[in-house]
Amino acid sequence: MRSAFARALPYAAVGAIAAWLFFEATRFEFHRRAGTLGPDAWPKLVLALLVGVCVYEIARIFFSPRHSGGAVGVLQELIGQSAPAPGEAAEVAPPTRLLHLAGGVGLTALYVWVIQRLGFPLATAPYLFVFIALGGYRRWLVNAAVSGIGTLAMMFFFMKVVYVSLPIGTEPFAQVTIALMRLMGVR
Amino acid sequence: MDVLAALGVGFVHVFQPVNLGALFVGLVLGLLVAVLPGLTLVMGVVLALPFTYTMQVTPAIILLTAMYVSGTYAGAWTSILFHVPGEPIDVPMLWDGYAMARKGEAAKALGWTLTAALVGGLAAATVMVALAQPVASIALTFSTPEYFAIIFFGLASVVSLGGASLANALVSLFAGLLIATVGVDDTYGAHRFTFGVPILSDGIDYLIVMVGAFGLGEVFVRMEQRFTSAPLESVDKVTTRLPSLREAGAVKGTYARGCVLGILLGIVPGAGATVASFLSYGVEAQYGRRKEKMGSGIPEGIVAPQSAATASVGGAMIPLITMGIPGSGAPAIILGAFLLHGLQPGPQVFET
Repeated sequence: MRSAFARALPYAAVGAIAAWLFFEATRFEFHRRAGTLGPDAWPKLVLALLVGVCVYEIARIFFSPRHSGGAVGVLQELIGQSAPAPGEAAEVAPPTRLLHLAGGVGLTALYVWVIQRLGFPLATAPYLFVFIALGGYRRWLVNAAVSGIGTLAMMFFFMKVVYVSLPIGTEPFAQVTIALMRLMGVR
Repeated sequence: MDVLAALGVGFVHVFQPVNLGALFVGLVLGLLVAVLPGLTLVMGVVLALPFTYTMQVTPAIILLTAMYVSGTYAGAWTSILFHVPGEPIDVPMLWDGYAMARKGEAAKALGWTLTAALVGGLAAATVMVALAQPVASIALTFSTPEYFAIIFFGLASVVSLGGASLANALVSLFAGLLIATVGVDDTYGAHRFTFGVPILSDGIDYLIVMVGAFGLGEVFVRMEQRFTSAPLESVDKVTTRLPSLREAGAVKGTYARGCVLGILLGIVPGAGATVASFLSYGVEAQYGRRKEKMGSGIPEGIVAPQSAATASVGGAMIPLITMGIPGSGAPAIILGAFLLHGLQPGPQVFET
């Protein structure tokens, strides 16, 4: 049962987010014209279907647990039937680290949130450092060098070579970005 | 005749130094990303995309497409030599390619792979050139209902063919549709899911979604799997030994079946090179002349998946160029490159 809860949790989360977005879609501000679909029609339809899929999958997990894998794609099923594996030992799936995955996703969300405030270099270097460490690489000096040099290289490439503007950040952090830009000759 | 003239102009363009350079770099990079553990073909194309920002559109598209083509080929090397597939496409190579290498014929196995990729690529390119303009002409007559039907078919086939879990495929589909609704509505001017964030008013750019889904998504998957890669042992020096014309002629049926299957599955949204590779091997194992020997290290087991995988590239380019519909990951990134350079693939491409 515990594993069923664990399998149902992502669908519950997605369903809850979809339901909240459906509520948001009911609050779009516009002047409705008679006989036409409003700008809320498609988002509401998509969200309703998304909630429906999540509810169906949760129900399936709890009430039809034997039917575990879900409907396999037609071609994938054909592949399974048609592709022999002569003399092949069954592939052992690598162990998964869901907590690290969640940490990586959370870290990336945090990066998106802070980059406008800290600016590209001050947000990216620590992000890369922590992300690499979270990935299991614990040689700190190499990690720091890769993060620092990688950030400066990306900054140089985007701002100096391909002229893509990157977030400078807000004061006082913007001063660091501007100083680095001056060093790189970026105007 | 127009097609041949356009093809001639295309050849002239390709042999210009910049374009030839882009072709060479793209081929080498595609080989590298397919061979290096931890880098997938789609991720490689995503990583190469920023380097095309300052390029003209022609070399940019050449570079990314060359990566796509060569990436379907080089992963077979590690399958054959080390029993480690570089890409999911190359898993069928483990069965006959590796078996042939274990019999002491690794060079021959690599030779069969090369000829299969060559034949598959050439056949698919020929079909693509021949079909692109007629398909675009038909697409020019399309109106909203026809486009709706095509998009509906594409999305439905992606969901029904591609996913290992139908629920996950549907969740992905609806999430993608939902992302497309973010921003200010064109007709009513209503703000949809912008939450007061100005940058969201313009909507979420297609390319950003692609890079996030295929680039960052791949990193997260690798992180979940502890960034583990199978260790590669060193092997003696191996050179590619091409099969003779007589040997190649003996499996011409396999080449033909692989090419046809690859092109057809390339056109179908959601199928792509991996499905083409597996299915082609499966068809050969069921209907091939030496089906009972499949898996023992025979050329048919190498030619079938490799020719189909490479041929699927040309097939995938047909709906991409003529209707702007990408069938799988790499074409989706190439579509992003087109858009980045101000070109909207579709029937009008041949008008401009």
